Amino acid sequence: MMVNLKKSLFSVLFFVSMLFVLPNVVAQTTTKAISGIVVDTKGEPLIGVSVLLKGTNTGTITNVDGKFTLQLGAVTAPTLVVSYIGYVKQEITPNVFSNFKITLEESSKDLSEVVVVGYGTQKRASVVGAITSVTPALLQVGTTPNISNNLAGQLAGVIGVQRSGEPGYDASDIWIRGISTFAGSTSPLVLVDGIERSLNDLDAAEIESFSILKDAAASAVYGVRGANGVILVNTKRGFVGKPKIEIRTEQSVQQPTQLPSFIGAAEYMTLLNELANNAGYTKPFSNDRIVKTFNKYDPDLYPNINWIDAITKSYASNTRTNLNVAGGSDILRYSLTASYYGENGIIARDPAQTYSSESRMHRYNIRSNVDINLSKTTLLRVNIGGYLQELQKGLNSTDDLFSAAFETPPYVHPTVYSDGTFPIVAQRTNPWAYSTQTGYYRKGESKIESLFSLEQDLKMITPGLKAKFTFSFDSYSANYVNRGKSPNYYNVATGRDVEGNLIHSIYSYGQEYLGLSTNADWGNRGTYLEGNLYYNRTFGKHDIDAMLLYNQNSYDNGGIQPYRHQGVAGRLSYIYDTRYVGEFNFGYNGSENFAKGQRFGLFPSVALGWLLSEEKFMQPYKKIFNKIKFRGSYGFVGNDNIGSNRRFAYLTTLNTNVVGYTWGTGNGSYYSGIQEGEIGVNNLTWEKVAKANVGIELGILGMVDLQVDAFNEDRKDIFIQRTTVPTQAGFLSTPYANYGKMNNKGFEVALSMNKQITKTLFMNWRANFTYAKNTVLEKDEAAAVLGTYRSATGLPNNTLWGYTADRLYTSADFDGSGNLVSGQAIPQIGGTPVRPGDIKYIDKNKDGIINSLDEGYIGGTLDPQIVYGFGNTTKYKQFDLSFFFQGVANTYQIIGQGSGSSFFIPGSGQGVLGNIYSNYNDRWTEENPSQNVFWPRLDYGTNYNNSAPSTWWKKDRSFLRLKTLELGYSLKKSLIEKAKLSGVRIYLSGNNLFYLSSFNLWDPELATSTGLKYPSMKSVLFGIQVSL
Amino acid sequence: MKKSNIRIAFLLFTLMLLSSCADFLDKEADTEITLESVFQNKTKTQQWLAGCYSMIPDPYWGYMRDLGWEILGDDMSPSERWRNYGWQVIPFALGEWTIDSDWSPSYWSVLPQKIRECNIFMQLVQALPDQKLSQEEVALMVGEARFLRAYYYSLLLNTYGPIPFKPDYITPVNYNLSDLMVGQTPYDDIVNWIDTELTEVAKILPATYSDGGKYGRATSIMCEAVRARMLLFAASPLVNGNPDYVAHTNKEGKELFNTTYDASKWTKAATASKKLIDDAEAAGHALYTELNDDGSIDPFLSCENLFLKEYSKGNTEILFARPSCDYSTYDKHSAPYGSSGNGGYGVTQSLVDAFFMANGLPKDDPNSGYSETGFSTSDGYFTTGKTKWKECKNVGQVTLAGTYKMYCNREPRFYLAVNFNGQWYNKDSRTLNFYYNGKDNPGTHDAPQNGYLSRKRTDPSRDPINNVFAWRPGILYRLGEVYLNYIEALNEIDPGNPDILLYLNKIRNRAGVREYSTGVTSTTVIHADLGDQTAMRELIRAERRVELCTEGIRYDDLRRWKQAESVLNQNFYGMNFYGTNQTNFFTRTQYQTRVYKKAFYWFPVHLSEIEKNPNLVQAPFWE
Repeated sequence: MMVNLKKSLFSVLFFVSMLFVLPNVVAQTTTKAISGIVVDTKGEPLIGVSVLLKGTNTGTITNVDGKFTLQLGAVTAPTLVVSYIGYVKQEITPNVFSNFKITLEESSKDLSEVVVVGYGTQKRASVVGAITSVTPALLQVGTTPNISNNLAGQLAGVIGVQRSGEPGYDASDIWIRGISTFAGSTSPLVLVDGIERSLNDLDAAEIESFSILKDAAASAVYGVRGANGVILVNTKRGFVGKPKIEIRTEQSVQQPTQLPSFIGAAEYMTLLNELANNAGYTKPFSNDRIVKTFNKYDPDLYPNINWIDAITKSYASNTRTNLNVAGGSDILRYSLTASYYGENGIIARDPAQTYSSESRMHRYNIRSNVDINLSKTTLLRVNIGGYLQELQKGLNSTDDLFSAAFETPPYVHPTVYSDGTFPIVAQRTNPWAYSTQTGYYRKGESKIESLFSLEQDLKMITPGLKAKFTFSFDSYSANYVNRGKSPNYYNVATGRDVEGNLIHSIYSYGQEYLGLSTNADWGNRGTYLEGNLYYNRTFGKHDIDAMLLYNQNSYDNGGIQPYRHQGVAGRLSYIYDTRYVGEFNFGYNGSENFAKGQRFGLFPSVALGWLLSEEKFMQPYKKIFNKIKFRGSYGFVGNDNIGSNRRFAYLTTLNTNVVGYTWGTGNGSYYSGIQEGEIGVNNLTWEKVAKANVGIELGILGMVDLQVDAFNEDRKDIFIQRTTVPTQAGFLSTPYANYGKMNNKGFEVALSMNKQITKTLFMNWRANFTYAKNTVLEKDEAAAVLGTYRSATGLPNNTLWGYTADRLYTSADFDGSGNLVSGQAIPQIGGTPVRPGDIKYIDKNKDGIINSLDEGYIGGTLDPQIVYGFGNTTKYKQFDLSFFFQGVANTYQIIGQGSGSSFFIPGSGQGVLGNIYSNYNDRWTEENPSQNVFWPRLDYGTNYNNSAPSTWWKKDRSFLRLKTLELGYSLKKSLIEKAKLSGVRIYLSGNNLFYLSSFNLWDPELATSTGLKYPSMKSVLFGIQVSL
Repeated sequence: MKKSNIRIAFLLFTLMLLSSCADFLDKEADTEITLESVFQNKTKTQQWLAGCYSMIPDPYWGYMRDLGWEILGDDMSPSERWRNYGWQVIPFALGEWTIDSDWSPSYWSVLPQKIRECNIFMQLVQALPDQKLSQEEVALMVGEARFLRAYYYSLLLNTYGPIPFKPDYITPVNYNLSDLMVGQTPYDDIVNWIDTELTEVAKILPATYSDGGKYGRATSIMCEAVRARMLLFAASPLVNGNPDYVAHTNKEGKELFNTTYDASKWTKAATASKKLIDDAEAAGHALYTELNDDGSIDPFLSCENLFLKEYSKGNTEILFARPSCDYSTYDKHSAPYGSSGNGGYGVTQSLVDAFFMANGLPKDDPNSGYSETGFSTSDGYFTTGKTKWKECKNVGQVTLAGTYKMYCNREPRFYLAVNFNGQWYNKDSRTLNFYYNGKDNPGTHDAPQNGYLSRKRTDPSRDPINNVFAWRPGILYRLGEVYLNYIEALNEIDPGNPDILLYLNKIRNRAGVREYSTGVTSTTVIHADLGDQTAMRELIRAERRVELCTEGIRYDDLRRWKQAESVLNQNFYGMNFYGTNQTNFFTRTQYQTRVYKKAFYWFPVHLSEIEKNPNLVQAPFWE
């Protein structure tokens, strides 16, 4: 296989190099002819235009300069039929016979508009793959530094959720058409200017075009890396014209969308007394204490602290400024983009400290793209971009801060005593001191991205042929520093002495100065090399577009070896008479991660399209249906990021430095162990996916655009650990194999409507909807499991697991002595005997006992199956108003699980640990034995029966969010022209202003089952944009 | 720039491209360590062997929390709510144990990994003369690997009973899945294999190593110790003619337990123990004792330091120890809360009750002098012997005035094993305060749940605040146990054999309690009816209970004797956790209901394994 590749590579390259040394082809000239030039409306020559002498078979096509010469023979008053794909066909009777100029008009915007596709561009009409583009302006909204946060709901086919609002950690998880593997990476391949780069390192202002490639037709050229879809981003380039300068600056204030709300100290103690009393224990809090706390008698001794409020500020802020300068001449064009983004988070700081423990982030992006025409046919492009980012925050993770704030009850001690000392309970944390008094963490990152490309027009060999060579290198580096300290902590005060001073003793002595621990710089480097040939030419009704390339990349992150890929890819697209489109794509590429001889794979795809609206018989309806296009594709793509965090998984590994043994008298000598690690996988390969897509594009009345796509993806060879190998085999780690299978199917709809209603009123509506449902088809489950409620096969990936709650027990379920009446299954979950008001589960295996064997898959996944968005932009005179809603549905979570959740249910921390959600009264009590409550019976201490994961705690996470609401005002031209400005717009914008959800304890989008997480933010933003 | 220049530049680039693409992906992970290279290097060979040793259990934190042998028995009372911190075995003790319960040591899956490593070692280890690894050394190392393999099988057998058994099989990496679907082999077949194998290996390995650096490596004594304990178990009622297991067969229809009683199993057990005693004593092993100036045994120091002193410093009672283990966490959990311990690892009331009185009589004996009412009016001292032990205010003092009478006048081993409310805590020169909201009882899970803390095997001078804990070996097998194993088996086949009293009295003598005699009871001896097999069985078991308490052995004893289903299936008692004064604290209070089902005698085959291997059968009574 390798030999073949080398051979084919060699021939390609040889061909490319020969092209440059061939002499120019000289055009022929004759007499008795008509000669001329065909240009487009901009005056650019058109190559390959068909020029036919009407009524004869004589014809020719224009050359690389757009020129043609046609022998007229006997014809004296010729009529020329001039046709070119994407342009309106013309019949002309020329009046001059030399240098006759014909101007062709584009037949419609749709047919001439160019779409960024894999390794190039295509005219929109000829696109038959599933590709969605978005106007970059739609990504440049809101206060987020991460482009990924603006994708969900904007692009049909993108499923995205933002799981945190913490500066520096708030990027969204995004999947193209959902998740279609349960082991390997699910992230799309992101290419910025053709180079694999992170989406979130870009500032939105740098983007010129943004496309996602969804089906096999669009992504097969990426071969072994294209299975999860591809995101193509091109950065802004210059143009011929006067320098255009644009400055945009925004300032915003932010607030959490919703933090969980907890009850105050007096209410807390009252409830705990009630619960202890119900359980037959002495009440832990005296009435005197409760009253004094309620009356704020002495806040040092009877404190009432809302710890979430204590560790957060009311407002956060951010600022963003973009500068873009672009312009150029025929010889040189340039674009320079510089951006600054700054963000202050919500975590509080102690003004008395010299340092800040707030979360703060700064980022500077700069990018300069220059295009130089070295000759009439040679174009050199140089892109240099990069960023510098600094993140500072408190030393402890915000997750830990929120956990500590939740863990500490409101009554235990104040944040700080009035005498300036920090109280603490032994073996616990003082959340405020933990947040503000322990130092800070700073992380610096920088990246430089470069690209150099040389494009040679080879029209001298044959018109329409181009060659391009690209080289790029990227380098990323990062470092961090921990500046830690700790305060002196005091035991909780027991009272006041006669002078009124607090009586408290020292608990632990801290370290008052900031410590220092740093790490060495780390980083990664990547290089990329690509050579390609393009061919695009029209012969009469035939339009051919072809591409062939070789590429290789290397990515070194300091691991045992760099990651490398190598391959060739090609595309052949044929359009007949602007009506029928056929396309063939392939990628043939390999990765060093597989065994020799098994490194390369071929990934072909075919696609067909039919522009019904271009058919003759449809012309009468053209006014109504300006576009009707059907397209379909089928093909194969791969995913070499197979997961399990293994390099060279075909090799058996050894684990060194594992647990060993000590020999020798006394303390002895410790020998670390060596053992067999992972078993090498035979015939290791990548995930393979067969993707099918059908789509229809409708243009109605020139104003409505509708696209509907349906897709089906079958993925196999998913790299999973076998689960049917008995542990008796003695393997340290059960062997892996390319064994898993998964299906993913769904549909997506994109609708937009543009209407200039009156001269001064313009309206745009847009909406899109994505539905993707995956199904695990093969997970290597044992035959005994398949088909039972404990089997994941046939269910969506990551289906929730737990008990199925039937209802709450009622007093009728118990006999006089408090035992369950006979016939009831006996719950044995955690040993606590059940009482009325506890959750009753279904005895799934019908063994009369409810225990973990009755747990099973209960349906629903956290990853949403539906993402949608809709919005409107209205422009009236100088004003513009827009809004955009975004939502997700079919997303569920079992709340109250995971770390820090053992005191989720009010009372389960026995008043020693945990806060109590303010909706605690929505509960079962003997006085209110309702089934329709949020909380079951509250217990004093952990009630394992009630806290078990079950359908009771399974909550719908769907929401609909007002993502943006923006009002803008553009100053009148007459006003600003004096200042030599070409445009000034001021705007006010709100982001995430509200959301609708059936779940109301905390923002349902957050990745938390307790609400204890750095919250998502809503913001109000003021901006001004000035163009020169 | 001229066109020709550009073309040349292009050409150069393409050439560059050509040159770089050749073998671009041809990067094998070339310098990775391979299996073969391990055995071409002496140090790595030793490291592989060290890995094979690594699953020898830790009798401190391991027996206590992960394996849970201590807390499954009726010796210990760990704080129930420690289950929230990953103590998986605590729910088991309360009857919450199913075939899909997780158990982190997971012997069923982990020990076969070690057995595979041992087998690979035996297959690949080779002499490396240039690195001074001789053929003789290799032969010894192979013996060690064989010992470990047999030992791990004995642990599997002890945990699960019949197991899939293919001792010499090394699963190839290109395995055939159906070859791996192995069913269980009958219990006795595995016992016989281990018996034979360990007998063989004992002939290869030395009894001791003169090189101190090799201490802890397998010896012939270790082989015999493992073998003898296993044979005692195999002779016991649970697996020797247990009618409960009739018709418990594997998928081939073979009965997995022999359900016909076979007395010769006791003979085998007795012979093995006796041979071990003889061989061990010949190799210099003896009961550990510390003597007073007059040559008499100091029972306190002997019984306390037995667990704190190492073999090379004269503690030759140790037959098999893990040189390194996590005793500090063990110490922390049993140290009182008021002294920065976690203070929730206690002993049961039934263990407190099991200790003899200072006069050597059990508390229920009418002449014991035991009382459960009132409090002592004067300090108590050890009077039936001599000691230099000073863990109370004065040398030889055991109780302070005002001590609950239940704890007064008990035998030395009681004071070495139990921390009770009102006891002197010498480390901090204070008395222990277990009253609710007292210094050592914060009312949480880090408090003595039934009024006791465990003391045996801990370091009395431990300092949890500064993380100071005295080093000590992890004793897995000791000679004292072998004496008791021997006489228990002997009493079953040869009642009246004088060895029974001989070895029983060695234990009692060291512990400072009156010995038994066939003669009449006097100030120095207690009468025992040697010929009465049943009575002697009770005496032996009673001695075992206190001598071997909190060493992780009791649980296996209850299983062997088929007593677990009664002893471990009842309400457990202690002092009143919520008591705040003498009157309401010192009263027998139920704090826990323990549940033990017939199924629990053997760990279940985990649901996931049963499901994937159709040739497996579940352990008895689990389904």
